[in-house]
Amino acid sequence: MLKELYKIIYKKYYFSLILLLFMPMLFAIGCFLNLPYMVEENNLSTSALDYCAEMQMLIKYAYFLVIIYLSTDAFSGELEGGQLRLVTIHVISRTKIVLQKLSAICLFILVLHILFWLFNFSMYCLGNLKNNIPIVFSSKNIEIYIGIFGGYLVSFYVCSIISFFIGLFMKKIYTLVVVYFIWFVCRYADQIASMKNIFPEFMADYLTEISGNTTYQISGYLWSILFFFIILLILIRMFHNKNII
Amino acid sequence: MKKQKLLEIHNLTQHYGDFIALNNISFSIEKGTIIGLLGKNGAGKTTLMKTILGLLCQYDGEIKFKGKSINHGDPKIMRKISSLVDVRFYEDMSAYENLNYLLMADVKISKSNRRKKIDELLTLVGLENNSSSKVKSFSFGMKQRLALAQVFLHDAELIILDEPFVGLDPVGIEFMKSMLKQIQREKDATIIFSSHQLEEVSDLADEIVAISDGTIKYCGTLQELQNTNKKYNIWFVGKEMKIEIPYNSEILQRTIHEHLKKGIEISKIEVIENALYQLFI
Repeated sequence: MLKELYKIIYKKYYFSLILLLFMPMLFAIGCFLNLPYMVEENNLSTSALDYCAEMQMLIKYAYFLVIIYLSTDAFSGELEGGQLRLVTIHVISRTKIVLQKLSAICLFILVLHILFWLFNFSMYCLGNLKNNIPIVFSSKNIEIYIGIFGGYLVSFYVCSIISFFIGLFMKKIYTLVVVYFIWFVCRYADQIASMKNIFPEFMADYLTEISGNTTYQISGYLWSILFFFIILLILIRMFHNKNII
Repeated sequence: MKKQKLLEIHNLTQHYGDFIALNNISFSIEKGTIIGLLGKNGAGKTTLMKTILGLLCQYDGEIKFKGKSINHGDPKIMRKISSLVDVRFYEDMSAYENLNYLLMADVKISKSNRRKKIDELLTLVGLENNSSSKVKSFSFGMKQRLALAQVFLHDAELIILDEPFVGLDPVGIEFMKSMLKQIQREKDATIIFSSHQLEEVSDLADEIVAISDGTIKYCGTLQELQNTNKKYNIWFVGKEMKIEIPYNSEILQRTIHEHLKKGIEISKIEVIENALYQLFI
C-alpha cells in the first residue's frame, strides 16, 4: 500500500482537495463579509456540524466526481495507459495489485474526507467570527453527523470498487462516465422509500430528516460493506484471468 | 556439458477471438543463451513474449520454467523473469521515482539499498544526470534506456525484450548490444529478444527462433541456418528468370551441364548466404 500512496503523492492527487474546498471556502468568506446571500444562509441555529454536513451536500456532485476519477485513474487509467502491465510483470501478485491500489485509495479518501470536515469546521468558525457565540455543537443527535460522515465515506468506497470493476472492461473516460451515471441514477432512486436502507449515502440524507434511526443506518452500511466485498472478490478473480495487453 | 533447460514451451496455442496468433508452438531454451525471435509484423513474436510473461493468461499448452509449469501469479518465479515489452512509465514521476516505485514491491530491500541500486542502474544506462527529470521530458531513446534499467532491477535469470533496438541511434544500439552481452557473460542470464534488424540479430543471437503466421519456421543456431539455407542462384543469358538450387557442387555441375546441352548460356552464378533474410521473407 505504501508504494501506491507514494504514487498518489507524486501524482499530486491531493490537489483535488483544493477543488473540493473551493466552494465551501467561498461560502465562508461570503458569511464573513456579510454578503447578502451568505448572511441569509448563515443563521445562528446552524451548528458547525450542520454546516459541515450542508457543505458536503452542497458540493456532493463535485465530490463524487473527484472520488470516482481518482479510483478510475488508479486502475482503469493504468490499465489503459500500460503502466499496470509494467507493475504486473514486476513480481507482484495480481491480488496484491488490486488490494494495494484499493487500500491506498480508500485511505486517501478517508484522509480527504476528514480534512474536508475539519476545513469546513474552521470555515464555519471563520464565518461566525462576528457572532459572539458560534454554535459548535447543536443539541441534535450526534449520530446523525456520524451517519452523514460515514454514509458518504462508505458510498465513496462502494463507488471506488465499482470503478475498479468497470475499469476491467472499459477505458478510463467511459468508466468515469458510467460509474458517475450509476451513482447519479442511484441518487434519484433515493426517492423510492424502500431503498433508503440500502444505499448508505441516501441513508445519510434520510437521517437528516428523521433523526436517530440507527437501525436503518447500520443496515445500510452492512449492505454496502457486503456488496463491497462481493465485488472485490469477483474483481480479483476476474483480474487474475484478464489479458493485460 | 549439456546446459540446463531454462524455458520449455509445449504445444502453445494462443487465440485473439477467432484469430489464432500462436499455433501449437513448441521449443526450449537453454540457460545462458541469447535467442533472437524473428518474424514479420503480426507473425506472433510479441504474443509469444506476452504469453510467457503472463500478460496473456488464457492459452492452451504448457510453459515450463526450470522444469516446472510456470505459475504467473507466483512472485518468486516472476521475480526471475524481467522484460521490456511495451513498457510505459508514470510520465509525471521522475526516472528515480519510477524505478523506486517498482522496487518498493520488494520489501526485503531497505530504503538506502534501494537508492544505491537505482543510482547504480541509472549510471549503468547513462541516465545518472536525468535521475530527477520527469519521464515525460525524456526522448524515446532515454525512455528505452530507462526501460532497460527496470529490466535489471531484479537479478532476473530470463530477460525478455520486445524490439529493444527500435528508435535507438547507432550509439544506442551498440550500447544495448554490449549491455546484453555483458549481462549474459557476467550473470549467465538467458535473453530472448525480437527484432526486425537482421544485422543485430546475427550479431547478438546464439540461436534463432523464426515465427511465421503463428508457427515456428526455424529453431536452431545461426550457423546451422546458414549452412542449410545457403544456395546458388543461376541467371541465364537473354532471360530475366533465374533458378535456385541447393548449395551443393554436384547439383550445380549437373544443372550447368543440362542447360549447356540445351544451348542455354549461363550469365551469372551467385551464392546466396543471407539466411536470415530468407527466413524473414
